[in-house]
Amino acid sequence: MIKKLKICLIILVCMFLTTGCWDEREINNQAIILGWGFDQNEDGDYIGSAQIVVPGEVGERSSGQGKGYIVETATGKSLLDVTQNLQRKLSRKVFSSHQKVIVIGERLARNGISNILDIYSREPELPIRTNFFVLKNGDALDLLEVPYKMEDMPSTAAMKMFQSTAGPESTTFKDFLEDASSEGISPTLPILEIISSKKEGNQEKEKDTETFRIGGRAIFNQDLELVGFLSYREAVDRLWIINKLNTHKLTTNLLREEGNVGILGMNFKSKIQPIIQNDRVEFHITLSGTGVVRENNTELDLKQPKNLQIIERSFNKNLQNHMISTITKVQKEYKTDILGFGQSVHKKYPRKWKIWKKYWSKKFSDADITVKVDIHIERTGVTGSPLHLKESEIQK
Amino acid sequence: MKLLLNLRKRKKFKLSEMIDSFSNEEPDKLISSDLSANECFLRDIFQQCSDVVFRVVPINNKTKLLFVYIDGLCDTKSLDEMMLNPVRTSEKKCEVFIFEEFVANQLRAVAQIKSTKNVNELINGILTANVAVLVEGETTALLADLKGFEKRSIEEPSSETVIRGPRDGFTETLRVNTSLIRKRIRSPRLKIESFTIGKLSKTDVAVVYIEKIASDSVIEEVRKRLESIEIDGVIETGYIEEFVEDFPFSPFPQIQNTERPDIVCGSLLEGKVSIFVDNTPFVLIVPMTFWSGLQAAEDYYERFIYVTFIRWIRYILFNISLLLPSIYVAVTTFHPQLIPTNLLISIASAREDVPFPLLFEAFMMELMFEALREAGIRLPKSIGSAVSIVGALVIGEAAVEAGIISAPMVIVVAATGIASFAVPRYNFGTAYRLLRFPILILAGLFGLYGVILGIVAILIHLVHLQSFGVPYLSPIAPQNPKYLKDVLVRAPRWSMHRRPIKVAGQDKTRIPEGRRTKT
Repeated sequence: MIKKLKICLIILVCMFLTTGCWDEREINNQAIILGWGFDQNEDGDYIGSAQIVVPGEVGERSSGQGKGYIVETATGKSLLDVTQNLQRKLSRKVFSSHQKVIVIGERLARNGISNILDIYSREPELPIRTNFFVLKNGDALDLLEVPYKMEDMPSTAAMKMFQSTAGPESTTFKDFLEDASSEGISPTLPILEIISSKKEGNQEKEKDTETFRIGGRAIFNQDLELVGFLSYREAVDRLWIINKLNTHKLTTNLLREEGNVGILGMNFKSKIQPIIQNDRVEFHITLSGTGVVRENNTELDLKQPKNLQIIERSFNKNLQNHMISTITKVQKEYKTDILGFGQSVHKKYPRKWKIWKKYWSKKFSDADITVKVDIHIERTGVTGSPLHLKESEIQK
Repeated sequence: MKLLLNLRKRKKFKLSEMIDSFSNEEPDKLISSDLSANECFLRDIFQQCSDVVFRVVPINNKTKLLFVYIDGLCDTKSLDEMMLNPVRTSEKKCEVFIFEEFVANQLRAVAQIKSTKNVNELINGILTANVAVLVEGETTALLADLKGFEKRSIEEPSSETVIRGPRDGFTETLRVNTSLIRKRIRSPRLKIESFTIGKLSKTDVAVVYIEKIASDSVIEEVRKRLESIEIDGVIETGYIEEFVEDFPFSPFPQIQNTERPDIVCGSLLEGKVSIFVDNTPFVLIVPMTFWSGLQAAEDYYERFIYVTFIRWIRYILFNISLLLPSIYVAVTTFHPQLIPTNLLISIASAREDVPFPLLFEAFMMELMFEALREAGIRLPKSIGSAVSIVGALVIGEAAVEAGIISAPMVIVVAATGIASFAVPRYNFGTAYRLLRFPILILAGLFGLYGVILGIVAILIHLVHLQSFGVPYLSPIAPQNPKYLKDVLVRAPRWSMHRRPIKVAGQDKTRIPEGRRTKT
């Protein structure tokens, strides 16, 4: 009995003394990376830039000293290589589980990003749900160095900006992978743009007045090379078509009358009907939605149903035109199916799809498209006609 | 473990030998008819016992009475009034045998009378606060039960206070305590079995139960275990508890203790058995389950919806008190990816100046907290406030400001401390206070993996535990849906038809079905 106890004790002591805590890492010895930027130089090497938290400065940020973060860069043949080289510059161990955004510079995006993706799904420390962005007109490093006042860390700002504008569609790495690996749809990524928010009369500090904003979408082809951009408004059209638009504020001019009307659109739905005739494909797209009038800069009295019809008609016509121009741009200019038309063909004509899928981008750009938009206005807000108008000015 | 048990047995054996040598060589010695011889003998026995009073009262110059009692234990006032005065002033010239009857009658009016011929019995009687009356020329002595010692009055127990509910608590007197029970359950089925434990202390121990409601097997087991106790003295229920509990090496108490008669009565009605010990206000209740450790008396007096909510709060806090520091250590040192980014950054910035590893920091703070708690209990009340000020200032403020301790750690330890006070049974809470440290080490060594291992080990132990034949985790494990009405929720009183523990006796019904009148 005593012998057994002794053996147990010895084993226990050995366990404490001879084993290290292999996975243990003190938080003070971690370089917490929040944002990660990717660029490529002329030699084809990757440049990684990391936005790293400086914990000691975070608390003091409010008193005006220190930024709370630093940006470091390193080059390498691959992401792993870059990380290794980055570590040589850092006194603390690289810890990238808390990456909020990954920004890809435009040059790298145009060269193709398929070579940097694998590590994100293989390395356990890297979160698969990081948000991916493409920086339009610039290198990712530039973006990481732009300060952002409202958030402690600019990287979180980019993520939150996206969440508050784009609605439900996420662009995590996982979603990108899903689109990239499926047939009949090409992946897209959201865009970040560096803009100048320079105020008039304050021109000494050039850097401080830079900020960034969410742009539209970057279009990738099946080889994961950047082919072009959609503007923010065009990206909304795309979301509507792929049935992921939740709510969006739409404003349109009236067709015959003067002024414009703004609605809060909801319940957006889309239906893509492919029709194949004589080896040509035709798409009938039916888009519907409901709206609540939020702004009425016309003289119409919205209590009158006929006036509501005028507004609905204007919306339908204008939205339809915009939609057709967006689709045409995607079709003719980029020749990349980011709208999921291929998937609808796959569902309806599985046999045809097998033949077509190899040259789908060509088929896609040749397809005829008809769009029908049906916005139904359900409510008109608190007032009927604008209150500031005199009785005689209101058009009944 | 076996080794220790053996050790205990060996010790016990030696002890009993030792005690035996104290007791009288002639257990069957009889009282002689010679009063002075008896007096000599008793004086010899009670040598150097200055509190033993010998009063020789001559009656009619012929008959002598000898009163022997212990000063302070007996009600001398009533002895004088009822006994000595009438005897002395009695004009009757009685014969001795009539006289003895006369004395007995006089005494019987005020006290319970026992007669004995055995010297040992006589001595025991004197020691248990009886007045011994020996009569010249008689071989029979009378023992009058004239207990009259100072008692503490019934007060509200300070260790278990309630907002709603009775405010009386047990005192140090066994009879007062049993009377508090009898007052609540006026049934002849309430049984109070008497035992005397302790070779020297001869402490009165009472086993209280309600016939047919408590299970016979549990009662029998309690009797058996009490009878097998051999000890020199019993000072507190803790002495008994350690002898009768099933798993002495478990950190979890398997016997509930309380100072409140209402808790005892409630438990008796549930089919439990309680053990009263003289000279302590604490009463043991067996069998105990894990869940009864988390139930307060008030749970049954307040409205059931509120109580169910409070119970859940208690369950959550209970787990926090065990796990919060370990989870904090495990997550921040092994799995920082689990922490929301903003929180991670705040923790990192708070820990920036701290020179110690997180585990060490946690240990230091937990130890300091335990020290504060211990100091708070032991210190005189007037210094108690000084401790709290020093504790709050030094540990709360100064240590953080000096960069020795990080603020999140102070918050974690404080939250743990508050959570541990939410456990209604003090000795049950201490089990978890104790287990917090091994789990903390596991967390520091193996991360969440270690925490889970610790939890699994505790669960295995809990499942293994039994208290007087009742599985500790019942009715959750082994699960018995019939008895679940008083565990995760507190069902309304009128819907608890059965007694909640499985070992209860034949009389299982508390409230007949369908008897709740709806108005």
